[in-house]
Amino acid sequence: MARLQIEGAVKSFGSTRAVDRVDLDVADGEFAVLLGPSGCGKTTLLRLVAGLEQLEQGRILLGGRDVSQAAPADRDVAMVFQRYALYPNMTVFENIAFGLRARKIGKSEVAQRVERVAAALEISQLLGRRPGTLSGGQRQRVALARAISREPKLFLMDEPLSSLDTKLRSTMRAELKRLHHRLGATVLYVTHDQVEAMTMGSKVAVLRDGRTVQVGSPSDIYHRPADDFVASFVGSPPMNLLDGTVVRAEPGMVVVGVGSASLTLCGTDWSGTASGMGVRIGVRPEDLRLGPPHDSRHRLLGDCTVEVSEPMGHETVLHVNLGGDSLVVRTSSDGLPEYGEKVPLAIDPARVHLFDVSTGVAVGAATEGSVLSPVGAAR
Amino acid sequence: MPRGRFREPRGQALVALCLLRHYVAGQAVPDLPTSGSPVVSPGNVLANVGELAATNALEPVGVAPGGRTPSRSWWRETASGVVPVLPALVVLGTFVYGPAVLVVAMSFFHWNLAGFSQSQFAGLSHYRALLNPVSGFVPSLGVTAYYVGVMVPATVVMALLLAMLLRDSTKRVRGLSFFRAVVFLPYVTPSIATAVIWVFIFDPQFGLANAALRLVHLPAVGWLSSTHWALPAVMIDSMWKQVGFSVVLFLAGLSRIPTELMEAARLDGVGPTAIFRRIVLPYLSPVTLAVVMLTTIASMQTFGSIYAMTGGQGGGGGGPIGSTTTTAVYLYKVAFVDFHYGFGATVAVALFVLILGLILVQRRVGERRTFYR
Repeated sequence: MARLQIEGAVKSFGSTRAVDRVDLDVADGEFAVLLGPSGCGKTTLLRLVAGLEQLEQGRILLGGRDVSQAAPADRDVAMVFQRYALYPNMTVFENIAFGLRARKIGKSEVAQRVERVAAALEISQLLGRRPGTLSGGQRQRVALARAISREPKLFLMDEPLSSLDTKLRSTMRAELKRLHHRLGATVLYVTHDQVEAMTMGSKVAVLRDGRTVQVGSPSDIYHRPADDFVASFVGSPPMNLLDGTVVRAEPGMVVVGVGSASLTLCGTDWSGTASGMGVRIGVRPEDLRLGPPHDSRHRLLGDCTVEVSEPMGHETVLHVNLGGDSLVVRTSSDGLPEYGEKVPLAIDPARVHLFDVSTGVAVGAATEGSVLSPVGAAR
Repeated sequence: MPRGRFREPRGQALVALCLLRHYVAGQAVPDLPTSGSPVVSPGNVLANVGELAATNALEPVGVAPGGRTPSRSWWRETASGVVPVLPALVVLGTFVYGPAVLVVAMSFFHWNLAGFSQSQFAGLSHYRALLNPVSGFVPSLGVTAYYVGVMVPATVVMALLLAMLLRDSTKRVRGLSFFRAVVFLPYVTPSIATAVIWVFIFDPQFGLANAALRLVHLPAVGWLSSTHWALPAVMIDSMWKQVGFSVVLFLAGLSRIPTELMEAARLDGVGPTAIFRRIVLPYLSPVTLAVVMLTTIASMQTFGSIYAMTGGQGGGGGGPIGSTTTTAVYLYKVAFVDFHYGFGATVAVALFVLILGLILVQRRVGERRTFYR
């Protein structure tokens, strides 16, 4: 296993920059996830690391060695492809053994390794079969087994679970995580699914238009999004964003006008704000609550109308309208208001994020002690 | 019924669908679609789709109330299927199937141009004569075997090589489509025209072929006047002419191979030779089988280029001293130089049976080694 360092990686296709000066440091044994919408350059970045694409600028170090110019085979990385890329004319055994034999590993050692990996992934009974006769989940295991048997320095995974159904995907997520703990492997994992990113990664790099927007732990990404793109991309349902204006900015405190109310937000640093500045106020669906506030944290924001209700069983997601703005509220499934009903909407002001409306960059997050008051009351 | 109903392409498509419906449902076309059977099969499903489409776009289809007697609409539907295929059926029947049946009949007669009534029945005597060494049929088989035996493997190898050079992933090569066109062009050029060019090339004194040999200090060859070199010369012409078609087939096959497989292999450290042997070739196996079968058929039937390149003395081609007399050339000489039509027909039947047998064997053997995804 080894540490992976990507320094100023650049790759273009024609006039399009697919990867634009990306830096990423993945520690030895870390599970790093490249997260972003389709076309953000995450797969290209993975292929650059694999050596399947050539870097234009920058360099890639694996275990301290510059592999930027090395052929794919000489990088000692193994890749799991989105559609498995199993050799359809070979049996499962041959699929796993093919790469090992190419590396001049002895016959008995190849057989041993294949059997060991197959046992670990519970596919021993499939060794004699061809990929065409396997289910999606089984193929996925074979593809994983093929990568693991190589015992590479780095695992590259390109949306390996995206072809599986929801149930199998969640099983395989847990399995991959277990496998990662057991192998202690360094993994670079590409996905557009934020649930995969949050649950599996120890480090998440959010990409947009070929650039890294934010790199951090899943918790960082979720609770301290670097900009409104990350805020709305990570989290399901996504963060609510409302437009507002900074009424007053002081060190450690900012007052923001939104609709008919104003928020007094406490925080350590509001240096990015200035009086009169346009801001986007971000609040997670779970930080909104229907009904009159009955705890000290929540404050009444106004009356909203229920537009859509999405019951999930353990919770319900409600789409409500508050003075023309559509908001999403996550709530427990008991005593829900009906369609068209007018209900009070409360907010937890201590969980509010502020983004600069022109750049989208976060200008701070509220902390305990933030309050909401009717317009004028805070002045 | 509006008369111009099938002028629209959609109408024609529906006719095809109706015919297909009968075919897939396993009914002979004249069978009446009487009581609707509740059996669910792909055929029935398709039939329903066809019926629905026909009902929506045209007019009510099917069966008279009670479902026993053929209704007017049934006749209409049948006619609407048969009429469009009639021209093709007439042409094929007159010029292909009819003559083919006639040839089989002729092979049992000492055929006279005046027709069967004036021809003497020969029984199996022509078939016995085939096996007589004097007849020339057996030697022609030897020449054919030599020709086919070289042409088929050489075409497969050459076509595969060219296809690998001209495949999509070499897109960065400038003028790729130009080279593809160059390779394919001889295939669509008349064989007599190309044969004339090759006759020039193989001219012993002024030809390019001998000039090239002299350039590398090899002795000049008599080519078309040599019993050793005439057939190889014809092979070079045929190969140059035919290979383009097989290249196109291989190119189509190559484009089906997922690039991910190659990438996975490259990452695994598999070398180009092993990638070719273990991934590319297995993927191309169905195409290879098709190329082998098609080249076999084409080679067994080659006539035009041999006739044009080796004609002249004695007439009918196949010289010198029968060294290029393949069975197809032999058939021509028997029938149209010696005017033994009945025996010529027998040779034609024998050639047909031979090709059919060879193709069946190839398919049997090939399918076991062929990998279909």
